[in-house]
Amino acid sequence: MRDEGRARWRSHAARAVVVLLFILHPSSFILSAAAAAPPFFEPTQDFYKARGVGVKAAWSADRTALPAGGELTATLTVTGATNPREVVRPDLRKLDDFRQAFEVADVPAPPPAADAKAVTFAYKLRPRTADVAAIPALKFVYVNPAVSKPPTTWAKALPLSVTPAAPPTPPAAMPLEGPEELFQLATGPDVLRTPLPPAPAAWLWLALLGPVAGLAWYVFRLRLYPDAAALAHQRRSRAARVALRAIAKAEHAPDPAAALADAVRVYLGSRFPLPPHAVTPGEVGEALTAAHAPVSLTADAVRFLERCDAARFAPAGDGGPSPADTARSLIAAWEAA
Amino acid sequence: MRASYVIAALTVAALWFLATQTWVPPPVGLSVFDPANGRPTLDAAERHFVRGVELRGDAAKARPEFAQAATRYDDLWRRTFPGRIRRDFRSPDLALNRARAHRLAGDLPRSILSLHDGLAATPASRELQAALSEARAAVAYPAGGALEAECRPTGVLTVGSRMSPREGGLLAGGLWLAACLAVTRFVMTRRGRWLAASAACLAGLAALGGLWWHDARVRAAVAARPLAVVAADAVLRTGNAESYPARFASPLPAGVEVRVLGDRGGWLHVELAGGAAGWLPAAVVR
Repeated sequence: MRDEGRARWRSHAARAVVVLLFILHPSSFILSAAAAAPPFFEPTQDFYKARGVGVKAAWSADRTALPAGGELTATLTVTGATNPREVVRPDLRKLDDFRQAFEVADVPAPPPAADAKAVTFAYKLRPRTADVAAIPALKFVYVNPAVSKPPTTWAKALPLSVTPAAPPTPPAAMPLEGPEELFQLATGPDVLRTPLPPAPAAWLWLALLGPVAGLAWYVFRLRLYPDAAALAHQRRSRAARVALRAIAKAEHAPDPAAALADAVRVYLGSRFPLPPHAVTPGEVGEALTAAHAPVSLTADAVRFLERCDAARFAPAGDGGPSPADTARSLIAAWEAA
Repeated sequence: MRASYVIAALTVAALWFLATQTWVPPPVGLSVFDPANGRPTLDAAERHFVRGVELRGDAAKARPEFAQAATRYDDLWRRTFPGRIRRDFRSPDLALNRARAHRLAGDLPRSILSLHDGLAATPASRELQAALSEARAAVAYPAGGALEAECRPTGVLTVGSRMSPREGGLLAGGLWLAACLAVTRFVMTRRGRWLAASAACLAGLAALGGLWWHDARVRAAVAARPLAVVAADAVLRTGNAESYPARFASPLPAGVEVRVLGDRGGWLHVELAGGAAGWLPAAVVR
């Protein structure tokens, strides 16, 4: 029995040696298949070259609440892989769940160390709508050398809160610049009142106004001063003009009566050859009579001169016309003669 | 002397009466209604203008209000009422409001045109003249060079721009009256200086008439070539097509005033203030 057992053990040992030699032989299919990658049973879906025992994948994000149109950074962390440098980045743009929900952009990162415990892949995700509620779960298939069927792990979905986008901020109000006068509004009845040029009738009125006004002034003056016409005619006489000016000044002289008498005497002297010594009324009357002057006018002149003398040396109060008016009338009478 | 005072007072009263007769009151009682909402157009224009002033802190909101006001002022400006005396609303105040509304609505060229319309109706208005100077100062004339000299408007000084017809009529009437009164005084006094004074008044009257005759000739010459304002930067060309070379290297800025000499095929033959002539698309000229 012992020999029989030894023979059986030797037979098994020999078989094992043959098998071992078969495996170790350079032409061995088993060894070459184990050394080359990928193995023939490598999965084709959701496989990112990860190998190991108990590989895990998980999502994390810098924020879980964002407005529509906002952007977040999501990070996929793969742990437990024995080949961290060989694990490839999942392309989320090729995954329907991600492509429909997000605009995806990869965030580049340096390759992990050969002995890294974890591999991370970062993505910029921008929700396409406000209805997006989570970062979808990611199926992660890896190879476990200890088992024949590739195991699958899931990076669990990460809830998100996408709020509606804030209404666009209106542009800052720009004030209306300009000179202050521009903002002033003219109001009132003048706004609709149109100035018109003078009508033809107005020109006619203006043309008539001058002659009518002049004529009215002339007539009005004649009514106020009835002898003004005669005076105006006689003022052609220079002697008369000089005498009338002297009479006008005499009214304001210190001794009006003397000034009036002098004015009349000078006038008479310029019209008739009165001797220098003819000063008194009587002497003037005699000289005028000798010069054949009108008798009535001579008498008037004498009376005027006597009245002047009386006014100089006697108290006033006879109540007759003023000496100046009398003198003017006298001059007018002499001019008319 | 008392008679002279009475005559002078009567003369002044007569002149005042004649002066008031040269003003025709506005057509009170005529229907001036806005067809859109039945409110008086002037009230609506003023309401929009005031609203625009209230919103002046936000130009985007204020400009539409001023544009509404400008539209209504334009409507008022165009209205005429035929009759023995042609009546309209073309007062200096309305022209000023209209120009300001266009300016604040952002339409400087139309504002300048409105001021010219006002000055055509009342050339002696000091306010309109000042407003036109201010509006011209806002035009971005080219700095230096021949184009600036060609673009900048040069005013023609006539008696009509310094004196209104009413003022001219009063001055003429005063000179004529003074001449007549001086002759009357000469008849009264036979003093030669009154005759000389009368002659001086008549000479002044003749000079005034000559100035107004010159003014009428200038206005007729200006009216023969209508004014237009460039609404947007445009190249002045030597012919009426884009293929013709530019008259100047730089385009004419918006707000430049031109005189229209003629038109052909959608292009206007225009003359600048400096005398240079060229062609502009009719679409860029108001």
